[in-house]
Amino acid sequence: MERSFGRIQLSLGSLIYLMVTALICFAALYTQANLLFWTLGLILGAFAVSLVAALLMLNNLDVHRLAPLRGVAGEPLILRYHVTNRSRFACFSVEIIETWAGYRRGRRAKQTAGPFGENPPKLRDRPFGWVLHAGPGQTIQAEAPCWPVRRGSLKFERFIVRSGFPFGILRKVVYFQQPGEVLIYPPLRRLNRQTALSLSGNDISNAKHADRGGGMDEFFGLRPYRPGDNYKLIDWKHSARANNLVSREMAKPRPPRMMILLDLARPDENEEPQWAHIVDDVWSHAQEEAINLAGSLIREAYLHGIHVGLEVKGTPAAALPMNHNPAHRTRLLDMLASLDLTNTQQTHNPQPINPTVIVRPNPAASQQDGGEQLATLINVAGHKHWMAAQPHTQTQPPEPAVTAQPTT
Amino acid sequence: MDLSQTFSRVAFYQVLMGILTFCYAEANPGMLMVAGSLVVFSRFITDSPWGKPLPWWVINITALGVVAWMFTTLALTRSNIIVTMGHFTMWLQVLILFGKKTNREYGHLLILSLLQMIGASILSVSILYGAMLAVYCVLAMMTVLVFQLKSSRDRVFEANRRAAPDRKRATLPKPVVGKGYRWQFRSAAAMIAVVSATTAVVVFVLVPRTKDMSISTSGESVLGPRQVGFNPQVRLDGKPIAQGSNEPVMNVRIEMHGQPVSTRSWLMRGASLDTYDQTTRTWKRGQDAIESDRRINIQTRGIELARLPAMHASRMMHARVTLRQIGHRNLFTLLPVTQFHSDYISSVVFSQEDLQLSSGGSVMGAVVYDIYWPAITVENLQERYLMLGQPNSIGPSLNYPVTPPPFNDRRYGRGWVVQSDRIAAYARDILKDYGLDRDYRAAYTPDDERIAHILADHLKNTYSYQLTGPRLDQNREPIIQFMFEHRSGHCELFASALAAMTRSLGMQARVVTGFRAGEFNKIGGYYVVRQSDAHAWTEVNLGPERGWKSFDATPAQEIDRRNRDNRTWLLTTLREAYEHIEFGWIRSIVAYDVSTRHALLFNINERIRSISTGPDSILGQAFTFIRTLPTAWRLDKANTSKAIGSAVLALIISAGLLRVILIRRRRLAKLKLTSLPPEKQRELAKQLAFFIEMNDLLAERGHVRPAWQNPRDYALELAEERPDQMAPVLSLTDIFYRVRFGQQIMTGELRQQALAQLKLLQQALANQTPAH
Repeated sequence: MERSFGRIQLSLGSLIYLMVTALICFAALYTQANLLFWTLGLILGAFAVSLVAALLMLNNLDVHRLAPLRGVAGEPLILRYHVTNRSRFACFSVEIIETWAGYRRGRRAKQTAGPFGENPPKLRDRPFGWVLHAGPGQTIQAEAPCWPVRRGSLKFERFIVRSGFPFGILRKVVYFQQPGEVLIYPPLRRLNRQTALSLSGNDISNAKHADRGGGMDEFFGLRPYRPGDNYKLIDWKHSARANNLVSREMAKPRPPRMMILLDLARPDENEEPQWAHIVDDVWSHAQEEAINLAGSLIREAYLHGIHVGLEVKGTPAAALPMNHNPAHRTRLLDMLASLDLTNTQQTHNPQPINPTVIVRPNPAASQQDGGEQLATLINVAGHKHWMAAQPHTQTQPPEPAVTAQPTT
Repeated sequence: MDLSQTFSRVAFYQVLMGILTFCYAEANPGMLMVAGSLVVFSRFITDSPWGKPLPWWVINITALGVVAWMFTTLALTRSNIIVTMGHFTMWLQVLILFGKKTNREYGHLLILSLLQMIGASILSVSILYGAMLAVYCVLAMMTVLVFQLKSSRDRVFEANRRAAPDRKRATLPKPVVGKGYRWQFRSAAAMIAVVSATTAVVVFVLVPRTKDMSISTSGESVLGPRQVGFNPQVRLDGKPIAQGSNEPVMNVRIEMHGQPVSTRSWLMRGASLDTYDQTTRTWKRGQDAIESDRRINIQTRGIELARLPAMHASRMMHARVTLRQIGHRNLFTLLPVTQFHSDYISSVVFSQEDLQLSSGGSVMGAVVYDIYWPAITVENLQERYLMLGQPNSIGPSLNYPVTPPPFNDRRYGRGWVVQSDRIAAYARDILKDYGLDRDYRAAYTPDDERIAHILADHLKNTYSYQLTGPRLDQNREPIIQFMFEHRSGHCELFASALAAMTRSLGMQARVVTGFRAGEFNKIGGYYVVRQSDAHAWTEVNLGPERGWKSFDATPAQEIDRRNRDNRTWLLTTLREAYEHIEFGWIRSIVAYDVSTRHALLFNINERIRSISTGPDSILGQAFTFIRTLPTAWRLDKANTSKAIGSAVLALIISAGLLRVILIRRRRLAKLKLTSLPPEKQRELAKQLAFFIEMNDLLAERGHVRPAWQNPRDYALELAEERPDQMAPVLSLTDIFYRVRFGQQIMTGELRQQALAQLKLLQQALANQTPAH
């Protein structure tokens, strides 16, 4: 981490202060009223104190950013700062502000730097942290919440540490260079309660059993006795008939599964002639919405204990088989967060999979109601295709299979 | 810490203090009651949990009304602009307090309060005001400090709101504070106050002052007329006059031969009024006197107004007048003033005919000046006055001639126009009892002084002094009513009556207004002159040899009786002490000027020089002592050995003591016993030494307990990792807990047990490879 030398800045308030000082100075010299000279002295004293404080403050302050590894778009991401004051003097009212090279204040200028340089920007504004007091020799932790707008890698470059204590006349500013990165997941919205279960093809209350034994549920078949088998499972009738011990094998329940195919490939005019007029931005937005939906499905499936797998079509990404554990879930969401939509090369998957759910962008749906509608879901349960939402014209609003609500 | 509440509270107190201070400076208790009540009321209306601010449209409309009121007041009543602006700022503050307050509104409140204080600094010179100003400054500093913290927090909050997808989701940032926050904040505030105050003192002392009061011509219009009981004109409109307040106007130290004089009352003359206008019934200064005014620039050594014979040099009286803030130019002197000096005023206007002295510019703030006059009568004094300075051209609108015509002595202060015969007959009737009469045509007679005395005594003895009554008929001549009908009235009527009688007899007389200095402050050794001491009396010309002499026809006993307060000795002493302190405040702070500055800097310079340079200075003496040390202490060989030995021994003992202290401090710090009472610290530090030893042993092998882990968890962790080696750590930690927190006494048995476990641990660790 690099630390720049401190700089002392004048603010608008300080200019006003200097103007007031000049006014009182003029009044004192003009009227020769001694009490005004006292007032002038006090004001100059306050300025001197500000100057001394600005020279001393933040000189021996060490600040480290402790950013989390991952965040979720639309959810607060808490950046933490480890603040150690090695000075003999206490620091008061320390502000910590993330910034990027080339960042300038102002609506237009900030479009060109860091997360604001993308379209749409990944952040609405810079994260601000605040420390009211850090005593000499003390270490404290400050927080700066930020709200990532969209998925992807949120890169940090440096942050400003500044303080205007005691009077805000002069402001000491120190830059800390500390690159960092946070992977932002797509917004994970809450889906209708039964959506994930219905799309998985199974229901927990009426789970289908797998074609294999080894469980402790219903009868699956018979097999020769193996040492260690429970005596209760020995089928004495068949054993007598076979003159050998035969055990009953019970079926092993199969958890519900969901293989998601995220189809981000843009169909040509022959496939979807009504989408020919869709511009790239709208298509990109629809793709993002599809990714959001896939992420929301994964989250919902994980909550219901469904084994989830993911394959992405239309952009390079490795297919992940179905599984259910926190690490797998993280891998799935990481993959969604890292999808590069600008690269349209398809990764060849040597093992074709049978998707349970296909998630496709639906630009027409995305155009409705400011993008509140999600992408189209297509349930591929067994061999029967169930079309959740048909492609439609703009005059005919789509009927989404899944409606999403923001997580509260 | 709730910054919003803290800031709201200190800002409220600051605004209240500002209003209180301004109202005190203005001496306006009514405004204080109204504005103060409204401010306090606003606290309950808007800032209480159930309170609600007024809508902005109500506040804006009221603010427009206040602006209209201010302009109307300034335009129609031509009131004091500083007072009006102060009232205006107060009303604005009240309105802001009743509205919804963001940081901007709080900023407005504080700036308005600051403006009030600037105005009040011009209005008042009282020490009580100074104390209030000091309290206000402390409050203002606290307000600004907390405001800085709050605005910083609000800035962060606003940034978070901008960044949040829904502004409502952003919450106020929690104040992250370290240990000892309050104490350190207060220490920082105290340090800031000390540095600011020190800088203020340096600026106050070192900033050069000028002699000129720059608001020379507009001073009165800016400040407006300020009622101090003294008036440069006497208007006999028949209305009773109110007694002035007890506020001191000036302090006068009168000395003769360097000793303060306190035995009698003094008439401090401010304005000489020689012309009586019967249409307006006003005594005013006549055209001849005005034309005789000369503007004189004050030299470094002052002005010698009259050249006296050398024999009078040792018989001069001296008065140092400390004049508080007034709104006019008149300076108060004693008759007959012959020398004048001041560092506060660059020029004076002086008439050698009526001896009226006034400042060349407006008198703002406090002024100190010295006057000298002969203790005994000087013959032909009027002729000894020097023709100094330039003709006083006041302004083109008055169209005065640049060169004044020769003074018409025959016309000045003579003649009486209102029922002159009747008044003359009355005067002659009085004189007849004393066998005296006077020829009207004679300019001066040897009996003039006696005549004036008799007439003054007659008025004193047969007329009664009343301030408030009786009410005179405004359509008739007030002096006639006073003399022949009511026979009672205030000092202006007495002075006018005496002037009328003496003039009706052909004598030269004038009415003089000023103050009667009779209250002597024993602590300070000076006379205190108050507003209520404003007075009018008569001066009569007794001829070229005797000159003008003051005659006070007002019954002095009645004035004294009226002014005499019924305070006890204690209260009187306290009052004198307070006024003396205030006098010192005015002399050293309010009236700090060029000469005081030079004197102060000279003294500081001399003091530093006396400390740092010269053989007799402190530093010089120290150097001399060191230089003569080898010769003063001539040691032989044996004594040298003894001295060296003693020094080494002392060094060893000191080092030993230092080591013991350091070890003890280290033990206390390691065992975290510093919060306990000293006896307990010593006892536990001794008993728990084994625990430090155990930790040292572990540290040698690279096992250092992290700060976040308590000893028990750490011991358990070590024992789990290496049960064969670290089992003694568990036992020792258990003993530690029993002694430190379990109130168990470290008995011999327990000590033996601890030592055994330590030995075991030592052996176990000896087999382990040291960690690097």
